[in-house]
Amino acid sequence: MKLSEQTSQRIDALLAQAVRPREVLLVALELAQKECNYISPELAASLAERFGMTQADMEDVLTFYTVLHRAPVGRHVIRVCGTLPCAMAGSDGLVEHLSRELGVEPGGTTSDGLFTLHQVECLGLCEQAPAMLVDDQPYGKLTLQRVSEILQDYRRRSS
Amino acid sequence: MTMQLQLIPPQYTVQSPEMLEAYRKRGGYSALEQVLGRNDRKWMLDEVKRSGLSGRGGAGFSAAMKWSFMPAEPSGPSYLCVNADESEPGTFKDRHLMERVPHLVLEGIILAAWAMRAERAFILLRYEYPNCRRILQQAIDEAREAGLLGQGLMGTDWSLEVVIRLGAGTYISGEEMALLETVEGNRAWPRQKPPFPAQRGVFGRPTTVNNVETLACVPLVIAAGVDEFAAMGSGKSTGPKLYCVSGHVKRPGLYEAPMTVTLKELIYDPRFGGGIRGDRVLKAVIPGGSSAPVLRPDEIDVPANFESLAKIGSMLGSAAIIVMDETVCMVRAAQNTAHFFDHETCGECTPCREGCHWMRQILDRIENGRGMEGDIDLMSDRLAAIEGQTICPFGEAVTWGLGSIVEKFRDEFQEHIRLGRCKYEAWQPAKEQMA
Amino acid sequence: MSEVSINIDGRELKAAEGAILLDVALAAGIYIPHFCSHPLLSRPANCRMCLVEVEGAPKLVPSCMMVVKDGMVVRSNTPRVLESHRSVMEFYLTNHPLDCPVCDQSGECVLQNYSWAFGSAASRFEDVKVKQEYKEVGPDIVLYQDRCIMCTRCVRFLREITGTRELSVIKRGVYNEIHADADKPVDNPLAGNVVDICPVGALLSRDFLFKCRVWWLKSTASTCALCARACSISVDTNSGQIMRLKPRENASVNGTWICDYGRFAFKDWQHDQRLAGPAVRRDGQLIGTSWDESLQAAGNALRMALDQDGPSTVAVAASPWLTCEEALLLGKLMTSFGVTTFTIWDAPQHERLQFNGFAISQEKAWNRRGVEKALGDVGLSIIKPGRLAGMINEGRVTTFYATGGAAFSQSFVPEDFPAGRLRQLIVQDCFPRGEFTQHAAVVLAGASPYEKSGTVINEDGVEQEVNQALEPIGQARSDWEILRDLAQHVAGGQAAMAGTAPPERPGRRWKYTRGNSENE
Repeated sequence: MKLSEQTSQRIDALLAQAVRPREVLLVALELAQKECNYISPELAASLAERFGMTQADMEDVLTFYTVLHRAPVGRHVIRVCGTLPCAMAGSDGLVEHLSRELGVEPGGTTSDGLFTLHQVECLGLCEQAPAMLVDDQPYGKLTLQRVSEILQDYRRRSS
Repeated sequence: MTMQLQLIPPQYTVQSPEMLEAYRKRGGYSALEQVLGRNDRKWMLDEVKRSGLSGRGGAGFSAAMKWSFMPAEPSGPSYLCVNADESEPGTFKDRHLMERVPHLVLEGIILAAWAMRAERAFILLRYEYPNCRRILQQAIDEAREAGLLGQGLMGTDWSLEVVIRLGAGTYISGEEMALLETVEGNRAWPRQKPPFPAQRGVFGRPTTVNNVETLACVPLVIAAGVDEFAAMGSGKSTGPKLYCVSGHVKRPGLYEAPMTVTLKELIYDPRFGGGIRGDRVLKAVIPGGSSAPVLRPDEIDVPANFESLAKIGSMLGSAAIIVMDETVCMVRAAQNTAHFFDHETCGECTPCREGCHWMRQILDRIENGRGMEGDIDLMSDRLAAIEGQTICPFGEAVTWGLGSIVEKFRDEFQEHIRLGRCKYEAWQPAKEQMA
Repeated sequence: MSEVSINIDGRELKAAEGAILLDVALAAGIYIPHFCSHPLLSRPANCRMCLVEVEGAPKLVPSCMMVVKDGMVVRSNTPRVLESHRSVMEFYLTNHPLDCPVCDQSGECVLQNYSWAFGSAASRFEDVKVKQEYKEVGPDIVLYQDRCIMCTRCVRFLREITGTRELSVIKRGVYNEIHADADKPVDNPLAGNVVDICPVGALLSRDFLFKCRVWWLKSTASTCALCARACSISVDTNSGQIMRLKPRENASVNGTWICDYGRFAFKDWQHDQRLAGPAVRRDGQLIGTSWDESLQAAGNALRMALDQDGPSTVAVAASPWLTCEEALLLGKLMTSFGVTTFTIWDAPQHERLQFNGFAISQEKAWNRRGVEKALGDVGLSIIKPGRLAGMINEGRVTTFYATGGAAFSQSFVPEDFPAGRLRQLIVQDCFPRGEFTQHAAVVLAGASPYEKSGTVINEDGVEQEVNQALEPIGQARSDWEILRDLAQHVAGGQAAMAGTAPPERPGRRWKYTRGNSENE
């Protein structure tokens, strides 16, 4: 997996304005992930080289920050908040429901490659608990029915 | 033009944020004009000091004092880091600020950077706030277009770059010293203080880390009037404050109020939380995010400010008020919090790394009916042993957040162990959307 | 630099301004436990073992990061501090496998020692330990991850001293691991040091793995012979075998490091071609014989040359592997016969390798400086081996007494050296050196650097002691003993021995603790 010329140039532009290269590492990794779905070992290696890092140092960063994926994920990543305010509002039930609907355990990806399901820590959407983030889109005040509708929406859009 | 002493005018929403033109209409950037016109850093520091502005990130440290640690005549670049990695459970105030009034935040950044002679401001924004990222970037672009940022901004010989850098799903990145590491693109392992950021911060340069809400208060201090700002609230809790009310209230949401407002009002007053959902009985309140010691219902008739909450052994923290009614199993609440801490501990120093995982296991057992005689004392003992032993305040958060639940709801833990099960129902999502 | 006064546990101490509290305490003999702090690395204060009370500070403070201030009052043994030690030790052992019986580090493990000194006898941990993998992170380095305490000394060493950055910390929380990329294992000239500085049994040497319980090791403080840096080492032996070499702290030579070349050099001196006893040439063949006979043969050959051809026809090669005492005796003995043609073999040269605060010398022998000094002390001037070769070719030198002592793979005799043109060649060495040795009339089997005592002077002029850790192999003798015995077998030689004491040392015993070496 290789970065497109465009993303590559965006990373160059970021590097050009950085005090030191590593300042823009996380931004660049996020860009790369957005384009390539996940940070494959090859991609990690080429980015490590670009940032003057060893692979071990790249692995250090990749495994610390939980939004970075080191294995393929679905086209849409569902992050259901599981922290106290959302938990009290039934987050576990939502995850179970999603698990059933998608046929995957949390952490897993559907066989059609459309969704990856994660239960994560506080998303800062507590006033709308229970809440989740699908890619960049926050959803709050979720019910089982609402979650099913949202899934349907994404399925419809992708077909 | 003077501004109203208000952080977020209610008409602005994430769908329709206050952009440059609207912000200027409420007096936006008049503070910056005034400050740059006077060109007197000492005056500005004195004004902020006089306002009594305390840090809104959790510690409540005087903003002016923190700024004064920066070198007056730096021999190289100095930096401002904006802590927008808001991740404390129950907290969403900075998200509202960035999504709804981005220019207020940005003007605060520019003012603070000017006061500290910083040439670059890093906004460390959590990945999970994509709307903030988009809206803030628009505001930055607008400001640059309008000559409010960049080389020689507003006709001065000073220049400031404001850049958004990403946190990436890691609570600890919001800790002051860990944030420096995140900005440097390293794993967010907090550094031991001293040296303090003002001595050795990002890339070894003098740096100050300020919370978004703290910075958003700065334009108000200057443009709404320092006396008015100081007069709002009491003691060292001055100026407007954003409260994040979540959990079992009728109206969870973000509320702005002076820090004379009580916890009880924030939960029960119709202007705020509006009471407990279904008019159930209140069981517990966490007043400042999961790191803050929990309060019982008989403890909440206190002003929600730094001093009053400290006096009763808790803290205002991030002003995240998590309300729990009688249906809540406190063991499960502790278990959930322990899972959070175990997932988020960076693992750099020993008591926190090992302690969080241990506590999680004990709480899992108790909640699942496999608690043992002695578990409660062991937890209390080990939690007390984390406090004061760690590099960063995460240790204290664990001790205070979990320890207080174990201490104040000890009976419930004992009952779990005695019964060998949890008698509370599972937390289920609402069948229908609540009105 | 100005001094400050501080008080630790009631003792008034002077310290340099800017000094670190932990260092000051340790230097004064006040032991504050610590895992992550290492004097030559950055200090992250992550282990939380070195917390002490400092008057005026509300919390306990890590002494490894506390810069001393004038008037500072410190307490390292109050109930609060001791409780902190006990408490942190309990946290350490929750996920530690407690597999001391099968762990190589057992007996020299800081965690084990601290558990004894500062911990509790019983564990209150009833839950499930996190199990982590055994990994091979370098050609000689294995990692028992579940024993790791995350002090990050290894990671910092590879970032700050070698700059090679092969190791990093991955994951987070209790699942943190030390990690090496499969394509870039820990394989640099200083790699072995990560094993030395690991305070626990996480990083271990594959070479030493399961070879010997450390309490059966006899450690001898000595010096590495492999290059002119001449690092301070500990030679750890068992049953007359070297089990391992470890660095000894020496601020003026090697800090706390040694290189892997030196660390494994003993194997090169253990090569199976080692000369196990003296030999003389009979009917064109080198035949093993007794010391008496070989020394007599050497003595006779020398005496004959001196008497018949004159001292100017005799030349001597000192070797940079000799000790100062050996070189001095060689010089005294030969000058007493009137011999003044001396050369010093050139040791093999390699590129000098510079690291942060440590260097591997380009000259692959420990004591050229010392040999030069010793020979200078007896008034000799030295000629180059090439010049000597010329003199042999011209027939001006016909008898040659050559010392050696290099490791098997080190060559020092110039390839075109005209040994065949000599009438008499007497060799004193620990290995046969191909054709050169084939020309010898007498071969006297010498000792390896681990089998003798004396003094060496490194490239910076630092004098260091060499202590015998092993008996010489077979019949071999140290060069000093050979020269002493030779003096008895050459008429007139005894006079040179006057006032020369054997370079034996009391055999200083040495206690090795990783990264915290202390003299016993």
